Amino acid sequence: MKSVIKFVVVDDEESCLNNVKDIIREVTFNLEEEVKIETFTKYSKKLEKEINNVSERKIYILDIQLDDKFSGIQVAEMIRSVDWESEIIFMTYHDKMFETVYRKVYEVFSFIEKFHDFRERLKKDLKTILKKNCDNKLFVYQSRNVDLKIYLKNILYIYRDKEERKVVIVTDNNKFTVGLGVQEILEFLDSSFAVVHRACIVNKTRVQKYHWTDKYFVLDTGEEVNMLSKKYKKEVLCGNEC
Amino acid sequence: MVMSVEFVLYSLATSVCYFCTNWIYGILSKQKFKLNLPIIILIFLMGTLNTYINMHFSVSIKIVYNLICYCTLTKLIYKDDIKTWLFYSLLIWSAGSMLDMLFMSAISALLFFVLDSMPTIAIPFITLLLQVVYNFLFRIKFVQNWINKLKEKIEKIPNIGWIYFIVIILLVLFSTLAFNNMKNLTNEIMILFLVLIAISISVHLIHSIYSEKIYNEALKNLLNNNLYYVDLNSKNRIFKHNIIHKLDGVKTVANDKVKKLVNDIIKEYNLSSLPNKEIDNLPNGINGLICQKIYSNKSKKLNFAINNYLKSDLFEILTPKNYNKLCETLGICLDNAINASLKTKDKVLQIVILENDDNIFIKIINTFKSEIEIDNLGTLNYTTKREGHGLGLYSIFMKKGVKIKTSIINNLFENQLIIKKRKVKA
Repeated sequence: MKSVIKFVVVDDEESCLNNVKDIIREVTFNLEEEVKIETFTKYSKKLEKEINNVSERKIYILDIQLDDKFSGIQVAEMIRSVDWESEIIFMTYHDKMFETVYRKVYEVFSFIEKFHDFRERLKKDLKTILKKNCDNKLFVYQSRNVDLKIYLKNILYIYRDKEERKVVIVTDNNKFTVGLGVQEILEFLDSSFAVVHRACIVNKTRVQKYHWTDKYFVLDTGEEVNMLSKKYKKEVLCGNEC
Repeated sequence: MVMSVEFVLYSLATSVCYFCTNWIYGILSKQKFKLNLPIIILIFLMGTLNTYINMHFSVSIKIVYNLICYCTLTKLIYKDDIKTWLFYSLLIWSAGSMLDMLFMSAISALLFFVLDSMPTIAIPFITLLLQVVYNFLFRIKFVQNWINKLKEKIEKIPNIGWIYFIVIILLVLFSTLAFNNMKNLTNEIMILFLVLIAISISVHLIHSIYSEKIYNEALKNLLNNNLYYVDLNSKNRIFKHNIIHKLDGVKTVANDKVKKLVNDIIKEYNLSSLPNKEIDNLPNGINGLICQKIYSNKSKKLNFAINNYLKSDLFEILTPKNYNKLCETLGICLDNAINASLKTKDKVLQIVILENDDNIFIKIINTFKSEIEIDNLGTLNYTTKREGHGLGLYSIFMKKGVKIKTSIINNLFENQLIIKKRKVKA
């Protein structure tokens, strides 16, 4: 069965909707996956249903200024309240005032200005998203007071702290300590992760080099981690090749 | 020989009891019951000593000893704040006492009826059976849900810590006296208990009335402060508008060096102001608070945005008490969010204000860079800052009237405050 990629375009101008549809068709022409395009001119029950259906991989292309009581920002808010795996692209005029905020808060892929090289920018961004190959899976953990959600791609490595006897998840910017064991945490992860030491799991996609003899690995951030055991070499290398 | 077998059986049964009560604590507080060798040894030692005390000392000493053992074990195994710990302990103790009494009476009656007497050796087995029933009871989903609801309601009572403390003291005293000398429980002792309870309730009531008075004063000050900051911000905007125009005038007659200097000054003034549209958009009542917090940090290049979808006036839709609590909670959350976001590269802070028919929702979202212990976040004295902090988020979680949901999503920290709207009579 073919996998599906759905494009959801929201813009109050029909001409713009058609233009975006043309660009999507052009970019996805050679794609193996089945492509579906849904268009909306404003927020509606149907769009709400579409947002709440998180079973499909989606790429949202939203106009910020909608001629409606709901703006594109509110639509993005609704999307992110249920779905952190789909991509969002905003179409906007020249107002870049809050771009930094919204880019971060709603994990927006890009802001494309409507009257400045729009066609080429959108084509380029769509191609980049399609190449990324659906890697927006989340690690979800709940404690009594906090819900933690992290993209698996953002996790660098996970290790067991000997003194605290807890597991530490190291991401690009932060460290999170959770009350799980190394083996327990493996159940939350996908095949891009591998045990490289009895107290360490690494995101293989983020490793630059394994130094098996010196017992350390180097991450794409430049960090060197001294937790590598030859015992796991076969599994890690086999996992990479398989 | 019989005596030693009895001793071993008693010791084992008591150790299993300690084990079970701590296990139940873990089930109730949704924490993992992690055992290690030192704890297991400690449990068996405590169980053995308990049996010795049981055989050679009075019941009152046994009760106090049990209380000490239980406290030590739960504190060693779990890291809960004192109120949570007291709540679950009280619940386990009360339910345990009641079940113990019922079970012992029923089985003694049965054994007495069948065997004409209750063999001492049967007691450890009855105790073990009781623990199985006890464990089963607290594993039922319905019971767990009920306990969670009870905990939420009890936590909303003011000064609950003191009430817990008084109830525990009374419970231990009463159990000791009742078990030790049931027949000689005189009217004087009963009156003493009643007086103690009456004093506790009176102290609590006086404290509540006094707090209400102070709270009304605080609310008045808060409203005045809010108006002051809104007014100050308006004056500030007018002042900036005028001064920038005057500086523009200076530029027309200035040389290149002065022009550059003037441009820098204008740039600095523009940075440290909030966009007018944003301020006008803020709901009346918290606009002053937000302006005050954001304004002082805008110059530090804080990337700030606010999305307000609240149409109603806060004073109309919130009770004065809830408004006061909202301001306090929002202040703490904003301070935390600003401090955290300023330490990051992007320095992002967003506030989203929404409403539905029953509640107001305020989301405070910020970037952060730190090391966080997820299981300890929001507990007493836990902080990602330096020592001496760690009360802010804890006090918010403990606050009644304002519910808080905290999430961390991809390096963004989000606190969602949920405040109940005032019920409007039809």
